[in-house]
Amino acid sequence: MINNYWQQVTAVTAWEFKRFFKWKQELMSYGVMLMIFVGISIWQNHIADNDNRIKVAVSEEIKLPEHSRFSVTYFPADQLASVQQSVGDEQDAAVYTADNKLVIFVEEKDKWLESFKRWMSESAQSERLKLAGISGEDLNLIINPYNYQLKVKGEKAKDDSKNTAALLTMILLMVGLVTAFAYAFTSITTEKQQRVTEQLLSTMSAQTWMDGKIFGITLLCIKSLLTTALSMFIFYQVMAIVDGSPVTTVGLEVSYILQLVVFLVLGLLMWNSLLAGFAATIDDPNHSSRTMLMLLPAVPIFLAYSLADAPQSMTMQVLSYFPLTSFAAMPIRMAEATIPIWQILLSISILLAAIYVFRKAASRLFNMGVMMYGKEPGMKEMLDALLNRKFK
Amino acid sequence: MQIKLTNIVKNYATVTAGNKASFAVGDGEIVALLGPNGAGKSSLVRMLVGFTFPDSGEIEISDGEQVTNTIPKHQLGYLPEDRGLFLDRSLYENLMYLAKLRGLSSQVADEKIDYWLHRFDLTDRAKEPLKSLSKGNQQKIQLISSVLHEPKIAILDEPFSGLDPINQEIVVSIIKEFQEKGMTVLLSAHQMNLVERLADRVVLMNLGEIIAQGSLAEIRQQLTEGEKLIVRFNGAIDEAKLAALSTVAGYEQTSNYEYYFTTTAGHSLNQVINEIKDLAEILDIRSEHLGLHDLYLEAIKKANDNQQEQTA
Repeated sequence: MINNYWQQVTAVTAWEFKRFFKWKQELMSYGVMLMIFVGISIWQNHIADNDNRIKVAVSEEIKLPEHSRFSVTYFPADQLASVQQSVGDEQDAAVYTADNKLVIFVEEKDKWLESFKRWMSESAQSERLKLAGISGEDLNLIINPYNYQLKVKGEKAKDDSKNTAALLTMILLMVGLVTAFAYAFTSITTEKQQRVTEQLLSTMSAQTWMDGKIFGITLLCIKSLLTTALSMFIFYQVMAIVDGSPVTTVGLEVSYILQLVVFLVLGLLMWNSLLAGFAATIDDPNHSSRTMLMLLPAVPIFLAYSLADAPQSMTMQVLSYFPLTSFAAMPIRMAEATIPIWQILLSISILLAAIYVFRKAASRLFNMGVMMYGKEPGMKEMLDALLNRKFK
Repeated sequence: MQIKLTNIVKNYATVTAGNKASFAVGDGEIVALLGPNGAGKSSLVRMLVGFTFPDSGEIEISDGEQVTNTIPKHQLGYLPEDRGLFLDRSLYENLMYLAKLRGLSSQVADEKIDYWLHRFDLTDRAKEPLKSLSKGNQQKIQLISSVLHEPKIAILDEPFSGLDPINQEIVVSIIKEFQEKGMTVLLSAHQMNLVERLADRVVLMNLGEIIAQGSLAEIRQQLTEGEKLIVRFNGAIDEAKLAALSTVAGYEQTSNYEYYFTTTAGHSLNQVINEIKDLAEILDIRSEHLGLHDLYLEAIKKANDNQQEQTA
C-alpha cells in the first residue's frame, strides 16, 4: 500500500468534482435550456408569422413604400367609417390624418405597433429628403462629417473578434470565480465544521488534501464556465437562426484561444489557492468578517476591464505581470495590442510561481485552522503558520 | 510497531496538555489512555498522528527497523475524537473514498467494504446516505473507515461511544482480533468495564500528567495502600484491640458484626488473618479488589488533592 501523492491528489480531485457534479441534473438542465431556446425560437417565429399577416388600411392622402411585414391597402377618405368598422376583422389597423395628426386606429395595442411607427417615420423622412434633393449618404455626412480612427503607437488596429473574446473571457472568469467562492466554503469551511478533516488528514498530508481540493474546485469552475459558454453559444445560434442571420463562427487564431485558455485556467488555479487559504481560516461563514475577502477576485477583473482602452499604459503593464491581476489584464492587453511572446511567457511564469506559493500557504493555514474548532486564528497565528513555525 | 513517548511537554495558552508525560505501547499491545475530559489525552493522540507537535520531549515510533516521530500515515488507523464523514454521501462512497486515500485498489477495497458492512449488519444499507443512519450506525462506519486498510497501529479515541451494549461487545471482539493479527492499539474510552477486559495496560492521565500506568494489578498496587477485606464475626469485638493491630491500617463497621478493613501495606493476607482471628470467631472473609472504575476515581481524586495541596 503505497501512499502516492498523485494517487491521493487524484482521489481528492475526483471526489470533490463528483460530489458537486451530478450528471443527471446536468443533462436535465441542458435539456431544460434547450427547450427554453426552442420555445423562444418558436415564439419568435410565431410573432414573425403574425407580423407578415399585418394588414393596414391607409388613407389615400398618405403614401407608403412597399414593406414585407405590412400589407398596405389604400382607401378614400369617405370610407373611413367602414374601414374603422373592419379593424379587428379584415384589417389590423387603419391609418389616416385628423386634426394635423396621424392616427393609427387599432382594436388593441400590440408589439408590432412600435416597428410600424418606426417604419412610418423612416418612410416620411425619406420622402421629405427626396423632396429636398438630399440623398441618404448626404444626410449621413451631415450628421457624421468625419469617420475617426485613433492609432496609438504600439497598438494594433481594433480586432472586434479578439475584443469580444477578451470580454467573453472576463465574463467566464467571473462565472468561474463566483463558483469558486461558493465551493471553497462548501468544500473547505463546511467540511471543517463537519469534523471530517481529522479523519482525512490521518490518511494524507495537508498539502495533498489542499492540492486535491484546489484541482477539484478548479474543475468545477471550468465546468460552470463551459456550461455558461455553451449556453451563450446556443442562445446566439438560436437567435441567429430566428433572425435569419448567418450562424456565428469563431474567427480567432488557435494560438490566441490557447493563450486565453492558459490565463483563464491559471487564474482560476491561483485564486482557488488563495480562496482555499482564506476558507481554511474561517470557522463559521455566517459570522466571519473574513467572508468579504472572498470577493477580492472580482477586483482585478473590473480593474483590467476599466483600463482596456489603455493597454500599453504603465498601470496595465504592471497589472499584466502582477500575479493577482495578470490573469485578467494580460488577455485584455493581448486583445488590444501586439504583445511580444516573452512578455506573455514571463506573465505565465510569475502566475505559476504564485500558484506554487499560494497553495503552500493555503495548506499551512489549513494545517493550523483544522486544530481550531470554534474560533478563528488571529493575525499572529496565521503569520506563524505561513512562516511554517510549529503550530502550538 | 512500538510507540514511545518521553517527557512530553505541551502547553496551550491556559491549559497544560502534556506535563513530562512518558509512556510506551509495545508491539501488538492494547493500551488504554484514560483520564477526565481535558486531561490531555486527545492532545497526545494528535501529536502521535502528527497534527501538532510537543513543546519538548520525544516521540519515537519504531517498526523494528526505522524510527520516526509521528506514525507513518499508511500504517495508521485513526478514529478521531471529533467524528465526521460525508453525511450526504452513501456508506459505500464514504468507505471507498477513504480506502482509496489509504492506497487500496478498488477491488481490494470493495471486498473489505463488503466484509465489514456484513460484520456490522449494514450490507443492505450500503447505498444509503450516511445521514439516514442512526448515530450508532454512523459510529460503526467511522470505525470501519479507520481500520479498513488493516493498519499496524490503531489509535481509537472513544471507540464505544454511541454504541449499544451488543455493538460494544462486537467492537471489543474486533479490537481483540486486531491484537491477534499483531496490531498495536492505543485507545481512549470512558467505559471502564470494557477497558478493563480489553487493555493489557492502562495509562491514567490528569491535567497533562501521567499519574499511574501499568497492568490493572500494577495500578491497583500503585494506587491502594493495602488489601481491602470484608470480615464477618460471630459476635461483637473489642475495638480497642482492633485499633492496636499492626496489620490493620483502618477499619469501618458496616453492619452489626461486619467490618471493612484496609490492611497495612507490606503484610500478607495470612498475617492479617492470624491477627484478627483472635478478636472473635470469623464467619466469613472476602478480599475486595477495586475495579478500574474505582481505581480511576481514586487516582483522579488523589491527583487533584495533591494539586490543591501544592497550590495551597
